[in-house]
Parts: sequence; C-alpha cells; structure tokens
Amino acid sequence: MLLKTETYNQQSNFAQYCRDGKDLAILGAKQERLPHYRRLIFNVVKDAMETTFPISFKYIETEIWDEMVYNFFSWHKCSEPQVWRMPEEFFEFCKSQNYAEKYNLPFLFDLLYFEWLEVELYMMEDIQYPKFKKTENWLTEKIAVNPEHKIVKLEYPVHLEKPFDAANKKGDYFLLIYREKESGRVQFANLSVLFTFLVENIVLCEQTLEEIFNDILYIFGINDLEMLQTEAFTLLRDLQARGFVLGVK
Amino acid sequence: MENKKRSSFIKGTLVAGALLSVTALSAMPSSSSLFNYNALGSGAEVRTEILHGNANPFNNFEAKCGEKSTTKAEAKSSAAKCGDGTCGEGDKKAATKKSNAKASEAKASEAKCGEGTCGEGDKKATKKAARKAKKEKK
Repeated sequence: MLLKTETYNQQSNFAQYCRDGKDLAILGAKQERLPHYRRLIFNVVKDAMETTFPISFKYIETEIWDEMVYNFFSWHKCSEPQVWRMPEEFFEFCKSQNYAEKYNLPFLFDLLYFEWLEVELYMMEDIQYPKFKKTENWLTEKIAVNPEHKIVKLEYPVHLEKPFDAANKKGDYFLLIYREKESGRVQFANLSVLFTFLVENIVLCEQTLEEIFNDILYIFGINDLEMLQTEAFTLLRDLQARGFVLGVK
Repeated sequence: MENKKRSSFIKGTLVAGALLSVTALSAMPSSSSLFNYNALGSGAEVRTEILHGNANPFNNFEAKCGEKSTTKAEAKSSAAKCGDGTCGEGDKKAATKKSNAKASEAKASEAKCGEGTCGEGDKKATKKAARKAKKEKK
C-alpha cells in the first residue's frame, strides 16, 4: 500500500522513537503516552529473545543480556517482517557488534546459533523426500537420507555443556540436526569428525558407502576396515531408527 | 605434503578444516573418539539437560547406538519458568509447527500486547522468579 510521504515520515519517526527513545516530532501524539508504546514494543522483542534463546538468557548475566537486547532494539533495523525470524537477526547483530569479545563470552555466537538452529529447522519449508528402498545392503548402494537436516561445526560444545563449562573447551564439534518427518520435532546428534565426514559424503550422494569407507581408511589412517564397517553400520542403523537414514536409492 | 594429498579426497566441507589442521592428522584422536556419536534427543531434551540437568550428555546419554535417550520432557516441566522456554507444556518452540503465524505466536506468544501478561496472571510472577533465580545463581 502506498503511503503519503507525511504518513510515512510520521510512522518512521514513531518507529525511531520506539527504538531509541529520543524525542522526535510526532504530530498529534501525546508526549506522556509515548513511553508506554515504547515499553510495550520492547517487551515483545525482549520476550521473543528470551523464548528463542532460553539457555543464553539463563546463563548470561542479566545486565549483559538486557544490554545486548536493548542495543539490538535500539540500533538494528529489522528487515524480516516475521517476528519469529527476529532472533536470527539478533544473532547476526551480536556477531556484527562482536559481543563475544566485548562481554568475554567466547561461546556466545555458538550458543545463539545453536539455539536458533532449532527454530530454523523447525520452521523450514518442507523438502521433498527422495525415493528410496528399505534394505540393509548399504555397502554398494548410495544411501538416502532425510533432506530436512543440517550439519554444523561449532567451536564450543554448547550443545553438550552449560555455556560457562563449555567456554574452556574450544575445539571442533560437529552437530547433526534434522527434523522428524511425522512429528516435526527437531533432533540433535553429536558426531565425531570421522562420522561427520561419513554423513557429509553420504549426503553428497556421489559415492557408494564402500567408496566412502575407502576414503576414510586413507584420510584417517585407519587400517581396520572391519572395525570401521561395524561402527559405521551401528551408526547408520541407529540413524535409520531415528528417521535420518531412510534406506538406499 | 601428506595433508595436500589427503585434501583431494576430502569432499565434506565442514570437516575439511578440522582434518587438515596439523593437530587433527598428526595427533589423530583415539579410535573411541573417532567413532563417537551421541544422539542427544529433541531440542526440548537437549535444553532441559543444559538448563536443569548435569549438562554433560557425553556422560548422560553415552551414545549407545539405538539406545533411547534417558532424559525426558518431564524434567523440564518440573521447574517451568518463563524465559526458559518451558512455560506451559513440554516444548514451547515445538508448539508452533508449520505456520508462520503460529511461529510468531510461539516466539512472543503471550506478549502480543507487549506486557507479556495478558490473560495470564502468573506469567509476570514466574518471569520475576526466573530473574530472581538467575540473580541467586550468580
């Protein structure tokens, strides 16, 4: 809908006032009532953040959390029209402001990202499942997996530990996240580097499992194929039971 | 040199960095950690564990393939506090599936008016309790 320039300016002024609280000429508005609008809108933003990031909210010092959310509210011009996407912008905002360093919270970005991922996966558009056959003859076939998934690398084990316990455990952590087809629930699995390599290559679907195993033997310097197969099949069977591995193509 | 050779095999984008780092290849983790896998459960279960539990799923879930995770949402409901994502029932985030409109409700469900208290007298109180608990924790 096209707005008159004056209306647009009024709305922009009002939005700006709500964000930073600095007085701007807003025609017809009663000054004493304006702060209430600001308070109410801020509460919506604050509540959205606390709901999306319950772990961050719980463990980050209240003053710091409030400051981050308040700065986001004041400085960031949200581009997403959907409220549920606002937390992603908060995560990006915190990164752009380098709050991890500023507040000495090294795990901050990983934690916000990890918490956001659940929402993102949960709300993602449906992806067509591939056609597959149920068989255990995996070795010479290409394996079909649930397409509604993500594999991410984290620097801190924020998915395994309380954030401040994770802070001194910097390393490479791999997380498989997928959405169950029927229930829509988002499931998490912590993977080793080897299993991440295996799952990534299965997802790429360029090689049979046998070929992937050969690469693993070489790359990881393993010389026990039988052990590799046993461990990998155990993983794949479990992931199949959990709805990530579907079968073979 | 060896790393370069190996890199041509590494198709996975995520692990490439980790594998090519000197520590990853020269000090390869033991076979037990190479085959480590932990099914952490649903988002609600992971959150519950970190928020209220011992928060070390390596110990608690111990990733035996096929094993069902042991922590359940009931742990979550035991200390439901606003802001912990536990208000009401098991999984507030999960309550919103498949609809953007529903999603907005989930993220700011009881705060439509901005007060966060509409039609729910207790919410303010529980939020205060959450803040108080947070302060006590410190």
